[in-house]
Amino acid sequence: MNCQESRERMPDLLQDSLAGGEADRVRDHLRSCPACWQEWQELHETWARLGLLSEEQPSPDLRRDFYRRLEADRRELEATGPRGWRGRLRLLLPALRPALPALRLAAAVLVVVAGFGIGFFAGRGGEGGSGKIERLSREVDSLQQQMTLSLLNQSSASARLQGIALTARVQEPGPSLIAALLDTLDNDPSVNVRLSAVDALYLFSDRESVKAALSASLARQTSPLVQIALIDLLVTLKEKQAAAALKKLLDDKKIIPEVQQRAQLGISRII
Amino acid sequence: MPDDEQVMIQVQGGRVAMLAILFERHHVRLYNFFLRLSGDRSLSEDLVQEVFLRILKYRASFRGDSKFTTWMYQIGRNAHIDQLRARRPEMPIDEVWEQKPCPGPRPEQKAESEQEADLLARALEKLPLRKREVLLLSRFQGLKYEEIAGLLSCSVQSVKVLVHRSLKDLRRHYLDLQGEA
Repeated sequence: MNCQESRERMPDLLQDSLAGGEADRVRDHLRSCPACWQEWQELHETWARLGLLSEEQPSPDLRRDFYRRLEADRRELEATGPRGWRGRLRLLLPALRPALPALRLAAAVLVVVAGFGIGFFAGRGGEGGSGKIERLSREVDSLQQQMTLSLLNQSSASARLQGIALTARVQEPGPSLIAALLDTLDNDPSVNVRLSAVDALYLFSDRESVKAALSASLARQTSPLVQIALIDLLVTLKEKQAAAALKKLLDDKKIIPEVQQRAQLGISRII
Repeated sequence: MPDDEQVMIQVQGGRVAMLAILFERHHVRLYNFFLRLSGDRSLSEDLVQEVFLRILKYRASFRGDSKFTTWMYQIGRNAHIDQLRARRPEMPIDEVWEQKPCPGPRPEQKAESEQEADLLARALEKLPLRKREVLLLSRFQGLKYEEIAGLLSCSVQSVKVLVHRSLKDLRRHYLDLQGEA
């Protein structure tokens, strides 16, 4: 390998995109050529130094504006009706895009036959249609749960708040979503996020497991604001089993008087 | 977890809410791409919004067999070019690519490592837009030279030459600034 060839391949070495043998030949040349070695060292050092530039975070406005806009677009699309066959077909396209022309023809025939079949069964009664709507509804629900879980894992508090806000739209929360909300309530470093988690869990408080977890969480909270929000929620739910957790607050010297008064009042209302 | 392309196909099919997944995955990196190109935080946020707006608007043009990030950066480059053209309508686009960003405010006191990063950022700002862009795409956005060549409508070899020259220029500017400091 000569100097020209070696220099042409230096950018590939930076991205580690040369095949093993080729990379070895470049390195052999670099070891034997001081000028190319110097050139490579300088390039590599500058490339590595770029890593000093830290990633900056945009302002919370960006996320807020995006979700506001997305919600408006979603509503607009819903208002103009379902996407119809065109959109649904597009979802199927990757699966219906076989490589061989013969298979493509077979897929086309299948689509036509399926179309007739769907039309035939849809014409026989409304059951197929309502089943489809239910299935789509479940898909949307599942999607919202995925988004929520993804947002709850973000490092930014505003993203986690956004995730909690999304839980209000989930119709049938799965165990992983409930567990993530309870984990947020117990462990999130932001008081605002923990307060929002209390509000969100109210929506799912018809479940015995959630009520028990809310009572247990009371002992883990250190912020008076979250303690008071939890006490209020447990009182609203008239959760009798929370009385024991409330009594513990009265005996704990680390709890501030305002919270203890609220707990005392709560006990009298629950029992 | 579905990959970007699978999610984008769902968005194409009308499940608009799934765009949030792509936003959460890419908006910070995209913001930093625009920030390093323009040096303007507010403008960079506007451009990120514009990119996701265009993704939704032109979702039908996404091809499921192409990489989502390459398509996204193509939209991002177009949004940036449109913004540059709007700001300087009389300037030919080739000259636009030679423009340097507005330097941001510089805090007077900085820790040593911050100062080094600051010098580097300033050296980067001294590069013409095309050189800056090719470095950002290859070093920070994880795009392969083949993908960048597709974005810039040039050969892969031209991209590699551009990366090589950009790094040499960047080093020269960095050492000059270091000498001044």
